[in-house]
Amino acid sequence: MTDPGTRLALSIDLERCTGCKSCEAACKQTNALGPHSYRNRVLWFDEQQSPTAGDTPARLDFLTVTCQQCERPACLRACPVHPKAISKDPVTGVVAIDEARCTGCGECAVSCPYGAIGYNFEQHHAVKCDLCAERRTRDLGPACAAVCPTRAIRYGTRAELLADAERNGRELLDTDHFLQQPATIYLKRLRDRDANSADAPVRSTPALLADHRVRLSIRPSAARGSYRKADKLAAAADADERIVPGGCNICFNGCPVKYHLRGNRVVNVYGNDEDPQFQGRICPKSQMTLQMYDNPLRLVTPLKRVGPRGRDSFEEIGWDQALAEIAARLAAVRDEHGSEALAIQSGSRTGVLNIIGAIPLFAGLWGTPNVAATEPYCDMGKGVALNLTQGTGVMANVYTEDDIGRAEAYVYIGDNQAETRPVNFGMVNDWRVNNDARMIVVDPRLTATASKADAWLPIRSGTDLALGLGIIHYLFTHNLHDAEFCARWIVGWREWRDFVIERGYDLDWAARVTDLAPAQIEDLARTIATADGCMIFLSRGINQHTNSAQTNRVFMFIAAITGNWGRRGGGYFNVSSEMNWKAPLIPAARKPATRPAIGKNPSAWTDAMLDGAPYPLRALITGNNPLGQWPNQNRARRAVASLDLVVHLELFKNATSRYADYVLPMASGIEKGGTTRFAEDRRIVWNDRFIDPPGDARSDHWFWIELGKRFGFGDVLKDDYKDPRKLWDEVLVAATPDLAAASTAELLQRPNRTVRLPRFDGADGELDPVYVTEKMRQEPDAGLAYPTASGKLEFWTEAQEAKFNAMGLSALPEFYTEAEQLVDLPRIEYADVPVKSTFFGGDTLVHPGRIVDTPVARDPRYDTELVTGRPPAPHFHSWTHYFWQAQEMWPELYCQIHPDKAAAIGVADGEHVFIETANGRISARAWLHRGIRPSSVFVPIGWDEQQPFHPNSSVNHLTRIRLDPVSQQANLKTHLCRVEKASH
Amino acid sequence: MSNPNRPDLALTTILSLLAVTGLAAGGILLWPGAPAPGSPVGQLCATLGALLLLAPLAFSLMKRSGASASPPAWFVAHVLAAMLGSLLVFVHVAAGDWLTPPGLVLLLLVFLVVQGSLVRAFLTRGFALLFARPGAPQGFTAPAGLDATALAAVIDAKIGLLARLDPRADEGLFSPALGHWLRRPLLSLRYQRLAEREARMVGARAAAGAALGWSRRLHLLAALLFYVGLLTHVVVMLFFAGYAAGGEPIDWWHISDWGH
Repeated sequence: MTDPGTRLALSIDLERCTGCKSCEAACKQTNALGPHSYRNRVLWFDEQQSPTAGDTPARLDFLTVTCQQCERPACLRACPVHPKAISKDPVTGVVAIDEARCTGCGECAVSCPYGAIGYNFEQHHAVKCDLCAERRTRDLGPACAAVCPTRAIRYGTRAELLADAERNGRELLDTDHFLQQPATIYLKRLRDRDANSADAPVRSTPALLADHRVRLSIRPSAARGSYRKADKLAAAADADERIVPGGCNICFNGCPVKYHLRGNRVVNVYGNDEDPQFQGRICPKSQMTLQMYDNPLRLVTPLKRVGPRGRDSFEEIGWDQALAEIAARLAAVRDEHGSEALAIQSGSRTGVLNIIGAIPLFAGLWGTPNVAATEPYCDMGKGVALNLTQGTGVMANVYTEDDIGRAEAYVYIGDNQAETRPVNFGMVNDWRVNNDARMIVVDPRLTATASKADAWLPIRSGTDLALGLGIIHYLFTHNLHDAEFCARWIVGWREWRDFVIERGYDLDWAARVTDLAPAQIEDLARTIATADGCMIFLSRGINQHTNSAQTNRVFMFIAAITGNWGRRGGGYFNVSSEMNWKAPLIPAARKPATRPAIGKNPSAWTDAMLDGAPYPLRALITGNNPLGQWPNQNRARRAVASLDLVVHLELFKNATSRYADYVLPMASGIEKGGTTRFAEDRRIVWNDRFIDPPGDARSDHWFWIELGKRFGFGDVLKDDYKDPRKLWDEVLVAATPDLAAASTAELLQRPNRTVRLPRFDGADGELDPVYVTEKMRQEPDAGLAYPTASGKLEFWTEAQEAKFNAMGLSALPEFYTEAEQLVDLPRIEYADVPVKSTFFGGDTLVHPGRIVDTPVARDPRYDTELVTGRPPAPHFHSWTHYFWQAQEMWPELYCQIHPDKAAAIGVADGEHVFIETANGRISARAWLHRGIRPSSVFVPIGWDEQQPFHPNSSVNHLTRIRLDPVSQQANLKTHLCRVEKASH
Repeated sequence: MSNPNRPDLALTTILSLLAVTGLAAGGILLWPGAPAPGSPVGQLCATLGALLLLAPLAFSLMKRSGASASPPAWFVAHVLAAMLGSLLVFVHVAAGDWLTPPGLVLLLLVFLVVQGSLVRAFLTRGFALLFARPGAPQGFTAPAGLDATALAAVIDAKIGLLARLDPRADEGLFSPALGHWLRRPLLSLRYQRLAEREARMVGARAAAGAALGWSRRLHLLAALLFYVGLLTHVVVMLFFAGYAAGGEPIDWWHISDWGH
């Protein structure tokens, strides 16, 4: 019997696990495992049927399957080799396999009752978890525990882990049904305390994830580099390992990572354990950037189209030819249509150095205002609302134990943080469990985030504005607002109060609109008002609507009147916190006068591309994948196909590439250096340029500088700026005062390469958040003020009212929602003629709207609400679809559908369905999910037809273009559709 | 990490070997000048083929006896030897009459080569897919019908038996090796039956499905029958040549013509 004091084990907390699969990513990159070879795997358990009796809440659970390190391991006894190819360490109890002795007979795999023995069928041997034996020799624990974003996986001696569980009052899941005496500990969900497994509702893995045939399309040969032992050993023999800090560049969150390099190759990517907050936590995407750096599908040579648009017909050319031809064609466009006829789109892949630096410099010198990044699709409504209300886009709260960690309540509305920012949610969920805090999630579907909540409110998509108004009504009529704060620090609160009450936006009204119960809204309102600190998290579920700015303002108002503004442990939050970026400095004489911009949202460009109104757009230089991303893809593709010039800057060929005249190979991450976006917790993280990009790939800023040279911009857009440090320091830091403390000299001093901004007075140090309200309460006469005209939070002023009126709305929060709803609700109708927006400095043409509440003539065929959003954590837009492991984790496009709805149309779990709107039709695999409104279906974003593993049409073939008149945010969330069983 | 140079036959190699063996066998069977089974050439081929076909037996013994430093190398050898041995046997039988009792042995040999190759090439994918197999992994929920008391009794019985079979062994880590079978065959058999009983109660093999759970055992059974058949054939042809000839002339080298 192994000594419990020395027996090593993992403890897996089912309450903390969010199913993100970061542990799988860590395991494969650490142990050189390719496709289909597992040492651990996270299963999702869902309910594919409605309960036959009773009204049990829907639930979603996750289970990390890994070796149980049994005291009586069935695998070991089954091994026919002598001495055994599987052994158990007498001290640690770790059961390990000697792959050199394994004949690959598979007896261990068929004998393990936990299904925890993996198998490499390319090289015919078993694989299994040995708690990262090699890492243990270096006093590092297993990689899965080191990276786990939620701290669900912990490593230690079994005795310590059991003592911890007992100390925390956690109940253990009984997994020793077969008397094998497993070492691995599973902590039960809190709600399952005292329940035995026989009481559990029937749950199973969705067919989408259980279908082996689909995953087998990923061939073992897809694995390269660190995922193959031979390659890994060869790399180790070639060069010593050096470890450098930096930031993940996949999503906007820029998590601190450590890159393990050998020569010019990245061999591992782990979280930065020297970061005081994340402490090495990292999501799967960051780790899978290994599959970006070493990927045979990367673009490595400039390509020029030789066939018709839409077909994959290109020839390889050199950079000189590409740049010369692009410059000549741009000049022709400018000569014929004016400089504004060039539109430029960038995105998170492009990076801040370009979004805020090189591209604005080029565009300013060239003379086009038609420049956009992805904010109009992500969070423009939040940005507009924040600047209106508090005069800055910066949000106070940060992810420290002393701030967000001390909240008594966490409310997520349209924010699936667990799957979109797993590390941040992991920290919140950890604090929730530790502090017994309350969590409420408002979302049309039971997401991974909602699966951890005390209450899930399945709201009708697009009606969050009504939810907020009902809460405001309740708070005022029950005297639950912070009257003192309202009186002293909020301008316009009385106007809002009177408006909301006069309009009758009470709980019953809100309940009818949102399809929630009045008691649910009341409970939410009371939770927000009475908790000593409530964090209200909003995100794309709120932002991606035509009422984006107003809904954001409503929840800011709720946070403010309940005292949850500018304090520790309470606040309004909407990812990401943005600093007050300033445009790079260009001498006035060098900036051509331009016509106003055509909208702030690239979707608005399609009219100008197709119809030439209000003036023609004839050229597009774009990164990312607009022909997967823009709504109404059929129209977007016609528009782009009609252009005189399309240049696509990317890492991989995607749907947009086929429409491009030139496809240019780009560098990424540490191939080019730079920063990612301002992270969720107000941090900038810096990446130096550590390795060369593949082939002839170049950084985006190299491209813009070289293109600029062809037009004589070299004196402003200098060749020196090809050095990312110089571009950052001399252009971005020089232009934006908030960045003063974030020069590369400052960033490079820090082991985590991060600086928290802004540092208003310097005295607080970077770790001190912007607790303006707290300071105001402590020192009411110190002259502190919000950076608005009044120095207070502004919700209604005459100036605001005038701005809103010009756009056809009011600064008061009048309810409206999307035009496509199953019930008659107020909606926006747009003016035909664009006017200059009052929200973008007067240089942007937008279509004003007006609220109408006449009944809509609905097409009865479209009887289902289509909701879109991000797929689970391993994916981010289209580029993770080129990573074999992300595809192994989440392969096919799916459609979450309620079992009752599925039964009504005769669809079983895993079958294919067609989803059709007035705009188009796509097919997807049905995922029967009890945790979704019966009247809704959910289809994720990110897929396109050109992807290598599981191509499918983008969901934006179904969406249409409707914009928020205030913020120009596009509705991507709520459309009406019909779903039917597919014949194939 | 273990040795990346571990000997193995990749999928394409296995399939190539199988295809080459199949084509060569077909060519041999259609060869008009094939030697008679009992001719010196035919008998030499049979002898060499039989010797090569002992390699799988050697593989089985080597991996169970602890005599091999690299069981995977023996695995590769058993595949290569079996395929080459088969071809030699085909030379031996090409001009013979297959509809005889030795034809059954040949059939077993063909089955072993084809089944073994296909299992290694394709069915092993199934082992990979057993990991965290979808549905409810049985170990994480209380399985219906499991009698934990009976299971405990079986384990206790194993412990009791092991005290006699190998007193120093730990029941949780033990299964009879070749040495145990040779030294204490009956005890080993009793122990193995208890182990099989425990495994049946646990049910993992059944849950893996018939193909994955039983293909290897089917291969072993077929191999056992093949060796019995081969041995019988050799004994009959060498010692009971008269019986084998059935009144016809004995045209092969033999030791005695019993059964005439």
